[in-house]
Amino acid sequence: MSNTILFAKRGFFGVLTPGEMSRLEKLLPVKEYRKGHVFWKAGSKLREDSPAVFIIMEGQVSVASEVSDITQVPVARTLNAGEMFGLVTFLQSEVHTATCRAATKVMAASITRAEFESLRSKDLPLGTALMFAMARQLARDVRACNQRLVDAIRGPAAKPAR
Amino acid sequence: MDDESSRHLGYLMCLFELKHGERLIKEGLHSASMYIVYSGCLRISTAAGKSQVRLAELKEGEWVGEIALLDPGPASASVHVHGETTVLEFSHQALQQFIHDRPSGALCLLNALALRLASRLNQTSEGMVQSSDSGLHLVKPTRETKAGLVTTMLRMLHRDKEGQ
Repeated sequence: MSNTILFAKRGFFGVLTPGEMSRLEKLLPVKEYRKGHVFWKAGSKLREDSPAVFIIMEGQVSVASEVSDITQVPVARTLNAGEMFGLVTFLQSEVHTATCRAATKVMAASITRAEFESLRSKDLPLGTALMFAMARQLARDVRACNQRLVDAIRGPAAKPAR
Repeated sequence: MDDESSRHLGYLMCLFELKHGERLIKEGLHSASMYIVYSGCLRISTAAGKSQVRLAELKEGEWVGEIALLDPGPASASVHVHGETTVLEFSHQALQQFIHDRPSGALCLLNALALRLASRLNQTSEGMVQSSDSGLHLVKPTRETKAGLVTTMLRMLHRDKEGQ
């Protein structure tokens, strides 16, 4: 299955034209990661030449917020196909704030900071579309985080029906 | 953001004059816009049983609804007008138009929004981790500050109005 089809299938870049989607396919190669692969650990430093943001095409990634013994850390969240991770570190800091691990076999596209900077200078509409996708993912993350807080306070019984 | 982009962004927004007590956003209902206080005051509250708990009060230059702007969905709180108030509505549709028309300005805007959301995510996550040992408590909502972006937009709007 081509990367373009995977991107389209995920409905991830709703603002992109087919032409932009095709350009993105060339820039963001999709790779396969085995179950258990650690993308990074909380507290580790982001290297300039390492992928900063991943876009999950297939599979699931678990995100945990502490470093110590990974087997004892409760999973804070499981990410599914169509979701991105690494955004907070990409935008804000040099240190990863959570441990990200493949919960299943994962197909994911990735981009480094340098690649993103290059993209925004060479192909502004595509760079803007990617930034829109990143901001939208962060909005969803904040909404999910707020909901977890509210659920924890009110109790599961108070969770509104969707 | 350059002046032309700021001006174009201003044209894509709608200005509304609202009366005291009017409801701008209802908790749980679909919301697809961000609202910037042009003048007056907005009060944000959430349901707690049968009563409403006030979370924040927004003054001129402050805003609410950036999550709905980027990802329309059910509102997490209600927003009411306090006193005569004028707001600028920035809809999801207008954002998409702005991205199409002015990608450079949109990139600047989206970057600013993404940075704010990343900060909020960090604050909320830290609040959850810190409170995990001693029972959960609400993280105090951070007060919106007058960001340079909105200040620039308001300045451009003032300038345009004076020029008419």
